[in-house]
Amino acid sequence: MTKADLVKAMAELDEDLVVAGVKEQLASGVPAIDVLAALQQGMEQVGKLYEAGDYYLSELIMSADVFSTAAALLGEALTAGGGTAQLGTMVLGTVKDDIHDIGKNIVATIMNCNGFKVVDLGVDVPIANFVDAVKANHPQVVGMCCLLTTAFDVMKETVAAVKAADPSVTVLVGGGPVDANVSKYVGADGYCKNAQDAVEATRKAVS
Amino acid sequence: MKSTQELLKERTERVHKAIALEKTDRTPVIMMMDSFCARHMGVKLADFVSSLQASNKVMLDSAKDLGDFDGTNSAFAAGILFPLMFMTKVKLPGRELPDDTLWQLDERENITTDDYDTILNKGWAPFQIDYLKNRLGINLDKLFGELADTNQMVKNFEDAGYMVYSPLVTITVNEYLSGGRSMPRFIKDLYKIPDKVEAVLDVIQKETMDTLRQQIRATNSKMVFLAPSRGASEFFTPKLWERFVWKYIKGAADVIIEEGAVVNLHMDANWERDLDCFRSFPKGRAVFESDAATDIYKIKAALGDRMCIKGDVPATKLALGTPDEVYGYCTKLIKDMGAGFILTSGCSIPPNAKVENVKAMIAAGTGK
Repeated sequence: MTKADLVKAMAELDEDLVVAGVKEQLASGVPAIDVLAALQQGMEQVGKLYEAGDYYLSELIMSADVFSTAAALLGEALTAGGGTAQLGTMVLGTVKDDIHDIGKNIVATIMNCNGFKVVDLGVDVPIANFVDAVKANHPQVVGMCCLLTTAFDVMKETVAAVKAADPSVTVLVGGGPVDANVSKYVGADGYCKNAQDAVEATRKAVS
Repeated sequence: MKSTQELLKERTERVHKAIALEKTDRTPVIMMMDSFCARHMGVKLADFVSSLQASNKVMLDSAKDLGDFDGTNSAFAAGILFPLMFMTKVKLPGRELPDDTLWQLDERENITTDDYDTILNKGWAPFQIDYLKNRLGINLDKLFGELADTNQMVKNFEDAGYMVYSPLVTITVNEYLSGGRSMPRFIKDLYKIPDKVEAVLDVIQKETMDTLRQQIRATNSKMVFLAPSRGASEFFTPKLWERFVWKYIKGAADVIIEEGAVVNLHMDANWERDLDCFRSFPKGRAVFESDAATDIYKIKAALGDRMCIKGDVPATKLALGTPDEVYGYCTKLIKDMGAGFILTSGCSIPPNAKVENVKAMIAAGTGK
């Protein structure tokens, strides 16, 4: 299987073909980092198909699953080769008093698949934990999620605390009720309607 | 001054006229309210969800303070019943959450793919009861005991002059698995074992519809609330949506309509791609209830001549907006939607909605 075929198989979410292609490439001596790059190119195509309206959330979730399965095959080979550079770092969490995690987890997975390091703080995250994570990890981006309108005020406080800790960081917010007005209310730099938005916004932030 | 029974009759007729797409003296206002009522009345959410009856009392007190509107979606807060609908645990204020924090689904992989075989072999009801009791630890006797008071809780509202819009609630069967498996795992199942998932859904659908028919007949319900929200078009490709979502919405709605009731489709999230499918229901026998994620003007264009539209004052606007903004939004909707429209919030009014904003919404409908 050529690199282009692997990219295509990844973009088409053909798990059997992707797994076979990764094994074949590794067996023929292709460096693991190059195989990973092909998988990430496939993920970029998934993102484009999503933006074009040809793919939906169902395909984003499946693409993350196929990618994770394939990337697991690269595990040891990647480590032996010195790992791979990451495009940037995002600290991510659902704000305090909100325990919803489906959207956050999808964002974390899709960000990872697209080459970003994600420091996932989980759900119901106290303000201090966001601040500590920013100080410890020096991310370019902090992502905050909520599904409850009751979380808007604590999100606002969290944004202020994070900005006070590192004024250079870009804060992105998202979740069911979050829109541009909410983003403005909480003082964020922008809002993301979905995981693909988060990838694009983070690319801009780190460039 | 009209008696509460005269008000109830007038309001009920107004709502049913709107559902039948007939012109009404004013746009009906139905309140989808639960946790908001607790904050409104100064009651902690932990006390509010301590029983269905407790929530019924607080909601009624809140309604009386809010004044002249037509009815409430339900007679009590359904938070403690969520495990019966989503097959997952719910975290409650005063139990797993602080006293005044909103209840939330604790969604994780509780149903396994092995359970699919159990459902296929033994049927849905035996699995469901055992799963809820023994795996999720739900006290079903207590819940069913509280539900036995539903008629009295409905009557409490009716005695005060308010109709209870949809006492009978059901859910599309894909929601059971999406909640119990967790949505990401359910979606992966649709790719990896689609035939088995469909077979399981068919078993659940058959049993659920048999039960629903009996419930409609026993309660003589004129309205059934059907909630297929996790099946929104924005989440699935057309191929998956038609096979795993629409098939079951259509099946459930057809049963409800065959039994002589109106189906209230509670359509959170964005359904714009597939609005035309909903034209297949008989005229005036379905209501499309939107939370504003679907553009209500597109709903009007696609379905306005077939079904009543109910919506869609956004939760965010009720929480962060001003009374003037809410009033302006509502009066524009009333003017643009015309006949066949019921004014309500987009899904439930959030607990942090400003009381003056909720009153502005009501004022826009009643003209007072």
